[in-house]
Amino acid sequence: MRIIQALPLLAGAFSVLSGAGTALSQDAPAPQPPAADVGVAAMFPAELATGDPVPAEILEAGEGLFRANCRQCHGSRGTAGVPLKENAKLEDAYYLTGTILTGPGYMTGFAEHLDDGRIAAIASFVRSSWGNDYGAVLPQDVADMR
Amino acid sequence: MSKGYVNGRLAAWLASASVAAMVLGQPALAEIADYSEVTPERLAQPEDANWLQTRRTYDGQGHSPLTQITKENVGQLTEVFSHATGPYNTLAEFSALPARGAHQAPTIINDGVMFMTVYDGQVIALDAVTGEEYWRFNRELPQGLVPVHPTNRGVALWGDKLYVTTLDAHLIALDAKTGEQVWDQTLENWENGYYSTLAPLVADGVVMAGTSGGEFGIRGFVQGFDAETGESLWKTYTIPAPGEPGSESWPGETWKTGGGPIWITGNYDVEEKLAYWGVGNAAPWIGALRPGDNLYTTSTIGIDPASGEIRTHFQYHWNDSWDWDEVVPPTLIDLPGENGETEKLAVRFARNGWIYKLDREGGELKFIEGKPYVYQNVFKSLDPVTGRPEYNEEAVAKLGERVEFCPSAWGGRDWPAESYDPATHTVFISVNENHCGAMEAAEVEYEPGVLYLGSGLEMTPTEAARDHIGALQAWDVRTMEKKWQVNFKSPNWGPVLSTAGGLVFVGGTTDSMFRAFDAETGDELWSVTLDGGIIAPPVSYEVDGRQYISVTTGWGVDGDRFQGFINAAFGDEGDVPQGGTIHVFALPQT
Ligand code: HEC
Repeated sequence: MRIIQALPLLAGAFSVLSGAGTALSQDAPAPQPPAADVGVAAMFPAELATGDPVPAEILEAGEGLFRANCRQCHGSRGTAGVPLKENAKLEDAYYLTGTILTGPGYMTGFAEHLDDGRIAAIASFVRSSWGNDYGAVLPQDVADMR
Repeated sequence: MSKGYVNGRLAAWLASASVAAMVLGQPALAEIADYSEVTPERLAQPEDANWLQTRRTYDGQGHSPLTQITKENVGQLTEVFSHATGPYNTLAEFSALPARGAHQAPTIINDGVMFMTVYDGQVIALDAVTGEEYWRFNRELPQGLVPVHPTNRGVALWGDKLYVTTLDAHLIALDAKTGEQVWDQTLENWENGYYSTLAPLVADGVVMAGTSGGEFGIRGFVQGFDAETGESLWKTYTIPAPGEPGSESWPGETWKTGGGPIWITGNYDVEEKLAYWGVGNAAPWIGALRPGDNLYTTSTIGIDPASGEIRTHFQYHWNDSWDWDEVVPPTLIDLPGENGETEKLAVRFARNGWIYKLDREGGELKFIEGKPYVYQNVFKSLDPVTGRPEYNEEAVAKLGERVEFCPSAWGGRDWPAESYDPATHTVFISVNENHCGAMEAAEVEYEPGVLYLGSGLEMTPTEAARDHIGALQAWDVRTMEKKWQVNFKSPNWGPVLSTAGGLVFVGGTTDSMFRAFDAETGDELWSVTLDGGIIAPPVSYEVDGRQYISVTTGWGVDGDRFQGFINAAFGDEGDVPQGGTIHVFALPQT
């Protein structure tokens, strides 16, 4: 049993990023929302379904985003930290997106930092790499999880 | 006596400084005029009024001999001043930080001067009576650093200097009067997962420190430096290299990435000239990936500050598979016996859920007895002679299998310090019970600077957790019996302060309350709700005949992680307010 699905976001957790510790810190700017451009989401063709093979362009975007956001903890080959390589749990797209959104235990929660398109690209990349073969996750799947 | 500013310097600074300069924390805002030098004698025998080290005394007792605040008058405590520790630095050029920054440092007090550290690399010196800042030191952290435990646990004092460790694994010395940096030494390369959060320990002119990184496959160590010059004197690894004693407890190359972090300040036996350090978990988390006892992880080691030699050790549990870091050093207790002799003890509440009473006579740790202080289902028993546990195999992680165990990785107690009242032979400690964990182990590869775990950490509160998870316990070390226990529905992450006024002060709960209890009965005598949760140690000090209690709010890191699992299980929402403020209390002046 995993309890990730129900994990609430530690929303206040992210104020630190902007330099604001608390309401008490002086002259601190308000936290910025995640970039809301549609660049990555627009890469997903309308006819693509969850589990379909992932178009190369999305894989490439997903790999770049994985390197920037996940490599520190899961390694460049998905074999470090808690291994993502040959990980049968990734078959469940909702388990994967739920984990990325909420960040259980020592993992970062990304809900406030990555938009649906970016999370979908990362999830599609992870599900198509290192012996995993579970195909695409759509921006809509991520939106459904939020 | 409250310290005066050096004439003119503050005025000059105020005229020239911008807010930006303040955010950047230009040091030497104002020089402390009549700073009291910290001598070896003062550290060994601190004045009642002062709190010169994280646990006040070298033995780690965390107890104040001050008696102005009593059971009778504690109800009148009022806030004298509060001081925000912000503004803070941006911690990481990374889209999301894995944890909220936490304040876990005690205010260190030297004759009316207060020192506080912040998780983002700042050190603040202020007037302990008025709260006015003398100076603020700021260290810029490197880009790309992703701190999984953004926190700092305080300064160490020696002479006219102070010492602090940093998230990029440096040990730096500052001029205590001005906040100007005197020297800067690299403990290890942060890019390989080393980072530092502990307050250093200074003994006989040697500053000692180590690093965190048990989750990154580091090889832990304690390193000694000349307090004056910063010259490295020795570096003693917590994991022996092939050929050294204990190396047979590590198969193959596993010793190179075996963890054994040092992230809580050691205690020091002045008589034996021996520093007791707690060594954390082995890496990766799964014992099956490094079969053997894995010395000296999850142990206490006794190090000679002059040479760095490990003179004694005691391992609480071998081949750890539960992330039960045993980083808190034992409290050193000299217990008067019935026939006038003195029992030299090292008493330790282990994260694994058992209390250990050890003999430290002659600088050698020997097991006397042990017993659980919270429910634990991993040990079948301890060997009555050696204290070595026998395991219930069903609670030991196995590859490809999900294994449950109690308590969870956060243990019966985590790092928050206990206190000890020598007059009543009583230890006061914050514990968490009614939570269990699980690990599902997988093979994992080491990659420098990347997490090296082999499993996630789950935590599930048990049914009894609906009644309470956190508690404050009082134990008589003579009888090893519990005197009383106060339960909190919330977890308790509060380091404890006891005072000779018969009081026990603790925060630690998610309701951001700071409370005082009757040390004899556990009755709550006073409380106040603050601006954030408290996981920093409260301290007590005296200036000009007035006793103060100081504590800093600043919830974050593992308090948040633990709460995330509880909220998930119980369908609760909401954050603990983060705080970030030093609060100082005293009795009203008549
Ligand atoms: C700060 C470190 C950190 C970062 C950054 C991080 N993770 Fe994790 N991740 C973890 C940890 C630790 C776990 C185990 C969680 C637990 O304790 O249950 C985990 C678990 C997971 C799991 C579940 C694996 C399993 O077998 O159950 C997935 C999937 C995952 N992470 C994907 C990602 C992706 C994708 C990213 C980037 C968007 C990411 N992680 C970023 C640390 C991290």
